[in-house]
Amino acid sequence: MSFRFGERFLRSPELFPARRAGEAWGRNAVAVDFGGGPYVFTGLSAEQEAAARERFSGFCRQGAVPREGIECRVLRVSPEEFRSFDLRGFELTLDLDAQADAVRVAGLGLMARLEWRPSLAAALWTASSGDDAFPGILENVLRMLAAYRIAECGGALLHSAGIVDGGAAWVFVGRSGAGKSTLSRLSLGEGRAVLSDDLNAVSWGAKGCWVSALPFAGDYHGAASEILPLGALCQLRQGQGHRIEPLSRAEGLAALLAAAPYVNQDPHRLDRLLSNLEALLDRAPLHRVTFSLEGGLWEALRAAHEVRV
Amino acid sequence: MIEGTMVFRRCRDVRYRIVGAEAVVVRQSGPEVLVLNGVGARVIEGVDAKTTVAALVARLAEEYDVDPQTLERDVTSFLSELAESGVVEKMEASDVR
Repeated sequence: MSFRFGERFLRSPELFPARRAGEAWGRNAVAVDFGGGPYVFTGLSAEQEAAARERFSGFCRQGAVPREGIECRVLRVSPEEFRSFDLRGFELTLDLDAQADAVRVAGLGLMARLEWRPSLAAALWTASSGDDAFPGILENVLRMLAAYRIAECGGALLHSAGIVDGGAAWVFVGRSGAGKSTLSRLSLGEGRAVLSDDLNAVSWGAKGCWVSALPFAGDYHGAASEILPLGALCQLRQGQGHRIEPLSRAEGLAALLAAAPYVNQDPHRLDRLLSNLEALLDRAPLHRVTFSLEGGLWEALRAAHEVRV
Repeated sequence: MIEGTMVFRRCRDVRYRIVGAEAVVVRQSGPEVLVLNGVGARVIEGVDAKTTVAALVARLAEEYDVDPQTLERDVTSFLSELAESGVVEKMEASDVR
């Protein structure tokens, strides 16, 4: 079944705001700092600010909120704007409508607009005053904002497990069920740090490739903003025994592209994302990693690959 | 049944990039990402809203040392798969440039 943009979530999607304007909730602000940021939420009420600081603790800048950064205005909207429905069995996805100079977003209890005029900025319309729903709403928008911003900066946000070994972060992409959380749990049990088992940012520069920890995770994540050199990019599969195999460049590009949320659906920004991912493939080792629950994967990985730092 | 006079185009939400000898194809509405081998890459390049299936097969026959009938069968079968997957669609005769 196909839907018009927003109609799953909004009572009147045709009235979606055409610009980043509206009534702020308050005068408070929070700067969340990680790759591509800081991401500055303005117009918050005190309750919303407290909820944001708690949700993104370890990533929030202390002291004065910086003037530079990617601004997201948080604006009021009536709860009547949103459809209510039974969440049981509902897969939480966002509706996107990508245009040349903006991206419209509708989701559970939120409307958001990302704009390039010329630099990236956003607005979030929510009816949540800072209650239990607010951190999730804020995170949904921040995930998308970060995905676009990091792509704009030459990198990519990847659905992946980021696991630290030998001072470098190894990034494992794979479909849902490929084993990202399982590998994170096993690696954590062996004493390795996990940046996130859900989303990690990968970028490159003159000194090589690196991985930024993000405040987004499924079950396992690090505690604070951190940047580490990239060990390798790996396409993850669960199977019998451990196998580390080469991937063709096209297979690698496809694996990374499939793991790059939001931007991979945007026809206006896909070329940029593809170029970023090809630049990563030029610089980073790439493996297909099949693993089973028995131990010894990291020894097998190291044997097959000399870590580039 | 695909015939030599038919013309196909890539669906509106499909983008592709040639990578070496292969191609990465994205169906953005999914999103879904496919990897095509060398021949598949040449097919997706050739599906350009103006080339007939027969012309595409003839072009590929010049590039690959394959029996023409086998090539025609493989290309039409592959186009069927791409059409079923929503990657390409058959054009109406009135829309062909």
